[in-house]
Amino acid sequence: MTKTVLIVDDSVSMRQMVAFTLKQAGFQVLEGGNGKEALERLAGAKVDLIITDLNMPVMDGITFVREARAKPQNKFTPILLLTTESQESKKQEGKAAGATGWIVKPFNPEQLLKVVQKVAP
Amino acid sequence: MSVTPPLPPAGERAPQVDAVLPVLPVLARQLRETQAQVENSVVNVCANFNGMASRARSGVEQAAKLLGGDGSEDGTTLIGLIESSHGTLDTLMTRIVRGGELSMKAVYRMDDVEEGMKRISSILSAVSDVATRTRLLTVNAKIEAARVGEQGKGFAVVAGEISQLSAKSAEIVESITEILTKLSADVGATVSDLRELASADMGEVLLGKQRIEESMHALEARHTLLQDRLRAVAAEGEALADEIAGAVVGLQFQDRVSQRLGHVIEGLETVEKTLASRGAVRAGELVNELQQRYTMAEERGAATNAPRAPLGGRPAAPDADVVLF
Repeated sequence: MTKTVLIVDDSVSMRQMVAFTLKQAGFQVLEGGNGKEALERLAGAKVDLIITDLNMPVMDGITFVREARAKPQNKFTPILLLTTESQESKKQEGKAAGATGWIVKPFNPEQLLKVVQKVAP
Repeated sequence: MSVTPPLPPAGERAPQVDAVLPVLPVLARQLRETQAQVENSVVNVCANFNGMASRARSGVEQAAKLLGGDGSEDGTTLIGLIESSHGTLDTLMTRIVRGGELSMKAVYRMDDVEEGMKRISSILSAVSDVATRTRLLTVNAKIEAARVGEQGKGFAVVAGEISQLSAKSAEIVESITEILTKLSADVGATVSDLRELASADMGEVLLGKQRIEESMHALEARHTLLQDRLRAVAAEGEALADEIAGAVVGLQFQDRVSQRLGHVIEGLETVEKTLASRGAVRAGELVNELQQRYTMAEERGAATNAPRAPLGGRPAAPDADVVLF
């Protein structure tokens, strides 16, 4: 069965690149421009994986992860943070919020797909 | 040794600051517009790139499919069809040759039949001759019987019977001869057809077979060439995948550029606010505030004058930049 991934990033070109990579591998893709939009998408659809940026306007990635995890339907959904941030303290913040993993941009498509297949087999 | 200049008294602003202050929002606006232009351009480039990459990948996948099974739904391949045609042609040739052989055998048998019919005809001719002579004999016998008189009556009766029998045999011979004549005509026609069949110019048949085989060999050669080219295309697919991956990494530059420009704009706005506030502030405080906003290692490095990475894009780091919690 085709899996669905929610991509959250305020950069349109980043969403395009992630969507392109995932669609080539057979995934269906939903998009959100910030954390608030992403929560609205989640209210209307079941997804198998979430990939979110950290620094976004309106609602940042850490807050989004925390609020998404608070909802029962997202309790076990893998959530990956895809961000330019590489500081260890930030990574720990992400982990504490409930993220499954952390990938530093720019991502390599093959590497991203390996991680996706690992967390959402 | 550099000396930090004293701050102007609170409430006063250096004249140069008044001159520079209006420039800052202009610079910020320039950067904002640049940021937007770069984003729009890259979004368009990404859309076109995605289309091109998808088409290229689709082409390579089609080539791989053709390499595997010629694209036919029932899985038959061109080479399989060629081999099957060779087999069919060989079977056909064998049957044609066999047909020729059987026809010749039939011709020889019909020749024997014709020979037999000729002998029967010859025998009938002899029988007819006997019948004719017997009739003559009976005429003579009747004449003799009449000459003898009363004593010849019995002989005359016998002669009469013999004459009748002779006439009957002549009739039978005539019927058989009629049938034989018809049969002979039929056999003659059949022999003629069989000879024609047997002597069908095998030379032409063999030439036709040769031409078909040459066409099939040419088709085989074209097929091999096509397979080689498809193999080359499929091999290019791997190189293409690597280049697409590289392009995907490269196109992500816009996100980093946009973030850095955003931070620069925020910095300019902070400087503008600070200068306009007429409050006292130290240069170090502003730098610290700017550094708090930075999200990338290279931004932090630039702020501290750390050695910079060479220009030309940072390739994606290996698994070190991926952490699973």
